Amino acid sequence: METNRGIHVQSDSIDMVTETGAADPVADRPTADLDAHGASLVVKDLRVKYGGVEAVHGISFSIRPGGFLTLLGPSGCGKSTTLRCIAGLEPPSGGSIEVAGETIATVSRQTPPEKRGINMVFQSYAVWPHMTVAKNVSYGLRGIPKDEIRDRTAAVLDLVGLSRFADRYGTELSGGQQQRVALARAIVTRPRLILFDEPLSNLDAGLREEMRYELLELQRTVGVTSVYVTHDQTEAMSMSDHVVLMNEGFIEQADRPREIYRRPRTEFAASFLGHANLITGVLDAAGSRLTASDADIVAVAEEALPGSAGEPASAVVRAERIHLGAAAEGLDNVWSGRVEHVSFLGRYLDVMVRVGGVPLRVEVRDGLPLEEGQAIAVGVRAADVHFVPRAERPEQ
Amino acid sequence: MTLTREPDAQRDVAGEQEQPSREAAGRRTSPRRRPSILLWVVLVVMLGLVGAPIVTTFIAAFASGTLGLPKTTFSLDAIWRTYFSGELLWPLIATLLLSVLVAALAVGIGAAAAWVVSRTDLPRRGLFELAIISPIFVTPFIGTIAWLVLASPRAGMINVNLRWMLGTDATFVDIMTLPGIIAIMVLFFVPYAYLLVSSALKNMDPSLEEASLMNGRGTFATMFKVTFPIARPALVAAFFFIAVLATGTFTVPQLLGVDMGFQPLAVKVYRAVTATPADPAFAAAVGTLMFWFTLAGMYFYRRAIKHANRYVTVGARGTRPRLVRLRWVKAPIILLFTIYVLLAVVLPYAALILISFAPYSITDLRKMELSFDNFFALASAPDMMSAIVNTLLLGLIVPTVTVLIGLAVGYVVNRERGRVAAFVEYLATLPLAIPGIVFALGVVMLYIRTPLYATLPIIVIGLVGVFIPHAVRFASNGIMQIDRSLEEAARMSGAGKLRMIGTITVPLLRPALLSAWILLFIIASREVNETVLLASVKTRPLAVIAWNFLSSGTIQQAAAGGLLLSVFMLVAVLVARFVFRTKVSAI
Repeated sequence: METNRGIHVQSDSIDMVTETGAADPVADRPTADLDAHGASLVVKDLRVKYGGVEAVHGISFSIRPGGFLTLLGPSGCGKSTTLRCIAGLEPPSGGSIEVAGETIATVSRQTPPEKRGINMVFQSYAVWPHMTVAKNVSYGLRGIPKDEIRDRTAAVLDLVGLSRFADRYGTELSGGQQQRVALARAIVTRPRLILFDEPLSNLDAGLREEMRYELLELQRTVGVTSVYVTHDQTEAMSMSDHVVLMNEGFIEQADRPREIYRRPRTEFAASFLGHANLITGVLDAAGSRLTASDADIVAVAEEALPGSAGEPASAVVRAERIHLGAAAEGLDNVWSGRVEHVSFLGRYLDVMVRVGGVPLRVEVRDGLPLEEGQAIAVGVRAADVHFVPRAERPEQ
Repeated sequence: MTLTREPDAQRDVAGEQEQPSREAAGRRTSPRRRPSILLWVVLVVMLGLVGAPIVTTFIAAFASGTLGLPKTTFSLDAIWRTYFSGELLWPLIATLLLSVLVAALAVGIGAAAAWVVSRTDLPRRGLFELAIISPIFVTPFIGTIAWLVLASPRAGMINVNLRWMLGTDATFVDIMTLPGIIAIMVLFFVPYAYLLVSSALKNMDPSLEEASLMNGRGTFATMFKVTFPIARPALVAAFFFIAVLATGTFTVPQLLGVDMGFQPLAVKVYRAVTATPADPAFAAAVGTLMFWFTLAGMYFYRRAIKHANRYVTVGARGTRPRLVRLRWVKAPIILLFTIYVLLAVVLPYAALILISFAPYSITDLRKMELSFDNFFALASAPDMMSAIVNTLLLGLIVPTVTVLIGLAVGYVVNRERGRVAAFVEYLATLPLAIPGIVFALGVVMLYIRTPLYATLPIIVIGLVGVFIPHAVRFASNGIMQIDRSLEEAARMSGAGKLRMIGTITVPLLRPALLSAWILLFIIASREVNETVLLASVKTRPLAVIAWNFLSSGTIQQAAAGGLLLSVFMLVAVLVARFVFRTKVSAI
């Protein structure tokens, strides 16, 4: 009997893997099939009002089946509200949400959350304290034979590595384990879509990193479409194939993580994802040369900012793309600066260099002899300079 | 009102065991130190206030007459009569039946109301919350007076007037029946159930329920599989609390059950004490019987919340629970709330006001003449002025003393662990298991030969003893919410322990202590069940005066007294609301 069950578990998890392997590229698959591992999601012009205040101002984005999309932004940017709207926990005040081509929420008609075939992992885990781990996980399994419930529960617990704790009560577990229970509970129902509401934010740093990999691997294994909410750019960059960067209820930029990092479209996007140095100034007629306003320098970029000739703009320069001293020579942009501050961070030196009135953060490999107060050449390739329009509202 | 907040329940478990397993308690405490002087002082005070009256009751049960009088000797008569003669079999069954039924109904209604108010899109929720809590100011006793006026079988206002309107001789409602007694008690105990359950529902992490929805369960499945199971400690606590309250309430069955000969144990005790000749030994023996009975209830309660530590969950940051849309059910629900308020507040006060302006006990609206005679009679009653003064004094002194003791107990219990602290905590919860009338009996016998007997201080002593658990809950809940590091930061900044308590702990506890004070003010100024035994002619407060009027059959003056008492409490609540900014729903 024991061995029998063991085999079952095995085959079941293999099933899941093969399901993923046979991922159907066609987006418009039948909607009622809850066993399907992923459905597309389309959010159109979504608006959400809290009392009199609009928290989300008409945003649109979509995910292909099996995709992993992250809503990224500072707290209060409307990302959690958007997620709760997709879940059905908040009503929208405008726009629509479609899952696998079926409209599940408009202003006038909303499918109740329990009928959406969506599951969610909560920030507080929401592991029910009055149930064992196994009961927590099997809670959403209904209308199928008992044997199957048991097997599926066992399989999922095995998948998250909690088989030993099946009979423990949820709150007797550590934070990381509770997180796994929440995860198991969300995937066991084989939802069309899984929503993650800052699931790692209550864990400590080491565990967070570990869980990040585990979660991603699990998502790949199960292959379910996922929407992930976080304010942590590392999580967003490392996990998702699409990032929707939000700020104050609007989408700042939606793209692949690498693209947002390489080609931010706004100052906010540039500074939110990996501290970027911003050199403010005015573009020339061609839109590829910026004359800085706080320093007597000109920044040259490979790509011009279209339609912004003569407009105020900022040059985005990443700290790790700036070269100092001898390495700076011969680059497209060479400026003279002064070292203000050097801190040793192990793998690299974090150097603050001032070029005219512009402070630049630079990451250089250790080994460069640097002294505070020393004059030094600062160089950047034109390919590593990127222009964004000046923000109209002042930075907070 | 505060039998539980989940972490509290856990502490109960630790406190209950005579040899506490330190597993539960030890986790959250610093290394054990020797008990401080404060702890010893608190222990002595608690032994005197709580331990002594209970022990006295037990000793008194073995006396031939009133304990403490010279000719009293050792006797087993009362014990034999109580435990072995079979005489109390039916009263015991009646008590059980009454308290379990009342508690079950009150908790059922209270929990349903709490769910509707906290989880649905009912409009104007604050108003409905107020509606469900408001009968707390009416009190079972005043409510009984009012319902006697309204629905006694012969002369009740409803019966009399419907008779002439419809031209029949029928009796439409009869409050002087067992269902009548149960209905009255349920009506006025619902607010307690509501307050206990709603605080549990409001403190619950909304994502626990959202997770259930995300797993495909609808509103009702979520309610019964997640919401109420997680609130179970609060539900059990409310059930137990109300069952004990109902067990110790003799006023309602005494007034409404006379014709039926319905005599639960509390009535037996009351009659044994107040009959001539009094039989205090028998009263004490019956009291011990009730003690076992409620102790058993307490045992089940503690067993039920044993794993309450499981219920402590990581709270989410301020997400609001998703509100269930009521749609067409909204109107019926609003109607139910309206009926409740009508039965518990509007009708009773209408009746009280009408009858207290009626010179004779005429309830026929056609023949009613209105006058201020009852108020004049009340005002000219010889001990009226002293009654008002007594009520005011009790209302000020009892809450103040109780809150101070509660603060000390809460502090030592939460900040000092060890056996002595655990024992103090146990003593502090014990009065919850003891019906007020039994406790009062113990206090009377304890002080009968001292100069304190028949003075105001003896009432204070008796009431403080019974109310201590409430004050301890408030203080403990408050202290637990104060992060220890806030106090430690004061110490690191050079403040001594006393300065730390004075400048950090007490100011942070102010809201909790104020709520406790207001609640205790209300229950102290209206208390009858205990005070009736403790008060002498000179120390009677308003509530006892009203009770005496009722016993002597002048219901109009009792009504006027009840009305006066209500106004008194209303003023206090308004003062609390607008001067101290303490909401009663915070209770």
